[in-house]
Amino acid sequence: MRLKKIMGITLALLMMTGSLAGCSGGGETNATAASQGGETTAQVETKQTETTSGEKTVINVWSKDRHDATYAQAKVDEYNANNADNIQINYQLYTDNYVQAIDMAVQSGELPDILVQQDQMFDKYVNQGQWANLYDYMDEDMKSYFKSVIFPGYNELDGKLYFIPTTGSTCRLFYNKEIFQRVGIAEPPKILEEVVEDARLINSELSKEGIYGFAENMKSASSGLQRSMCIGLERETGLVRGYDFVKGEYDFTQWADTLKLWKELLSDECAFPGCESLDIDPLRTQFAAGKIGMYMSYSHAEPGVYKNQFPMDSSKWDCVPIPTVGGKVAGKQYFTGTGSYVINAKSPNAEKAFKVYKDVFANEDYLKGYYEGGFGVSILQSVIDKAKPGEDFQKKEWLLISDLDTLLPKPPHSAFASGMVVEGEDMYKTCESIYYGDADIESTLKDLTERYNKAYKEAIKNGTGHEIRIENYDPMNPTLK
Amino acid sequence: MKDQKNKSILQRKRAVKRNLQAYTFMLPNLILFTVCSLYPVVWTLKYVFYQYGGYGTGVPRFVGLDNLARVFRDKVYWESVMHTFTYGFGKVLIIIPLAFFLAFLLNGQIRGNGVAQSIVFLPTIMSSAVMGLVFYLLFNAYNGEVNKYLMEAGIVTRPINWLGKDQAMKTLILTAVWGGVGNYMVYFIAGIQQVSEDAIESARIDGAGRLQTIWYIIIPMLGPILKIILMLAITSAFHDITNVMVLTEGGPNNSTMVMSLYGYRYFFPISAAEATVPQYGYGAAVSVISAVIAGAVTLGYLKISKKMDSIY
Repeated sequence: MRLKKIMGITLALLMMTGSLAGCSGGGETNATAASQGGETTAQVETKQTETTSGEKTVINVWSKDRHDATYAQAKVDEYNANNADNIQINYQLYTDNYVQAIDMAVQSGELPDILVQQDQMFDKYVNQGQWANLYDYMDEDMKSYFKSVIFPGYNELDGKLYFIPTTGSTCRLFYNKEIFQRVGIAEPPKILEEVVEDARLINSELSKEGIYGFAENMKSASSGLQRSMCIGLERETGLVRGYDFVKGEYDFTQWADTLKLWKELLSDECAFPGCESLDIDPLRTQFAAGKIGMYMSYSHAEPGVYKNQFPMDSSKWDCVPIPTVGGKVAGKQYFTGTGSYVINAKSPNAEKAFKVYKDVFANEDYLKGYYEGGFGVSILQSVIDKAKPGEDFQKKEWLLISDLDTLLPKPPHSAFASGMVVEGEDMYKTCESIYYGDADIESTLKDLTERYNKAYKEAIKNGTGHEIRIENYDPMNPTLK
Repeated sequence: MKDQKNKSILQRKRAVKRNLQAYTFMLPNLILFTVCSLYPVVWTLKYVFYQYGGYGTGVPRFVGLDNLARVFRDKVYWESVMHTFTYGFGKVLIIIPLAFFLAFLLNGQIRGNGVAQSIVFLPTIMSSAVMGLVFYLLFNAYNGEVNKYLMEAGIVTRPINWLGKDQAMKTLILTAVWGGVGNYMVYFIAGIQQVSEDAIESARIDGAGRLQTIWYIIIPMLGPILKIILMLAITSAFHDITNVMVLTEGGPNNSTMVMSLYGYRYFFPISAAEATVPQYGYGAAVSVISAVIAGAVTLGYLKISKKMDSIY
């Protein structure tokens, strides 16, 4: 009886150990995946750093960008093979789960040494001292080289420089020249009414061949509208995502005219069938296949996409600024710096991490190759002067950042995103209820304005936000502070 | 008095000793249950009363019952509840008769039955995400295979927008039926095999036809297992979100938004938009109310279906 009990208890303990071992089994699997070059968790990478580094200092780099991964990895490999500093770079790619991976790594104290900068993660942790002040490491030559891309209120906050954008992106209307020629459209549209007219013409003439006038990736309203309608509205209204920096309040009622035209643009008469469930990559494949007349997207990505991902003859497409209603221009449009990296201030290897950043990712050869390879549009004059960019960038003037584009200040819902809780659907989903639903434009936009202003005022009242108003703000010459 | 106390302590000690083995066996499960089930539930219940955007967004702010009150004002949420019922009942109404029919068809001793059963069962072991992608390739409006064949056959002249607001829910139900029918078929086969051959034989001797045998003998005798199958079908329909996420993300214009996905998107924003941030507190409130609704439906069903246990 006693023996039976002892055996029972032993078996139970074994079971428990088995269960717990089962729980920790993932780590081993991930380690194997990592050794095979797969994407793994932060914990596994850190363990790897400690166990496989030997005498070399391993600098972990995390990126979210798939489009330049091959280029960056090649440069990293080159550095790993040739550097005399006994440094090994471990370059890891996280795409869809980038922000979540960073959250987990911050919580467990296992953040890598260098990370590709992204607005959400930067804003979230900058006040916690998570990102290093690059001025602490930069010499005078470096400061002077990047002087033109240091923008107080954007990458320089309270005299500290956190990241350096080397390329830029904005949004444009991309069009298929061949389709335009076939239906007799002489020039790309300059006003939004012409976009609707041209799309309707293409649909009526060519839909029998499976060719349609206009498409947008509307599976996610926010993803689709942030690269298209919202950008045009910034120029048309001078407001940033509906926010008036002069009055210090939201006003979406000014979106009405544009939304009326977008409702037409996304109707069966003008649009590619199935836009409602379209992601951006399937859209691009159809554009490359010559099935779509026009769409709107980011300027930095498309040349690389049509060169490498979904090949399309460069002579068949071009781009122009996103047209506004009646060609009205009251402000500049969104431009964002890309190609930026932040350094983990709490890393024991922060100094070496900066060295890696300087030698690899901020190196002029790297930046020149990056621009020439079509991975991003350079915003550094020195690089632009020396580089020989691809045919697209030489012949298509609107791919480059122009006078239309500028850095815009952040409206309250971006500046303190988690502190401002808007009840009901956000601005993008609300627009969807207009163009894919039966919601009345005027009353819906009035309600949207009231909801955003209410949430903004409550955030100020609760202390989860603060008042944002810029004295003498000029939408044609916006200031960030 | 003292003796009695000592006796009671001794008895308790003996009881503990006697049950030690059982407690030790239970321990692993108790630990896992606490960590993986109990803790998340308590965590969710706590955040119902807070406004919180996740780690790195500051201290959670106590808001009392605001989140719960907001759920009751949220028109889109209640629409998503209605969509969940549409989806759930649509799925159950098709999948149960279809699974029964397939089970009945493939249960006999006919050559090739095993292979046919495996083919029907195959989608059950496929990842829902992969299934969603396959159905996207089949049903997308611009180059989906379904439209291609329908147009080639001259049945339609224009591509049908299967994932548009008028058709998306039907397509989702179809995907769910395809993915789940094999599972329910196996349950039905197990049930049919339990039905007494004698009862079927007696019915035949009494002159019952094939359909009469099914209706009056087999289906009533499947009562207890049918009760479980229906309960599984209903509860699983209430938390199916993978298909919806992959195929439509709840759109267009929330026409396929189901309540689990609605709650999920407040914890893990599903769109690529950088402006979208988690709202754990509101997500927790939505999840709790959704759980109450799903629980009420299940309880209601169990009450109604009590009869099924005591048919034969």
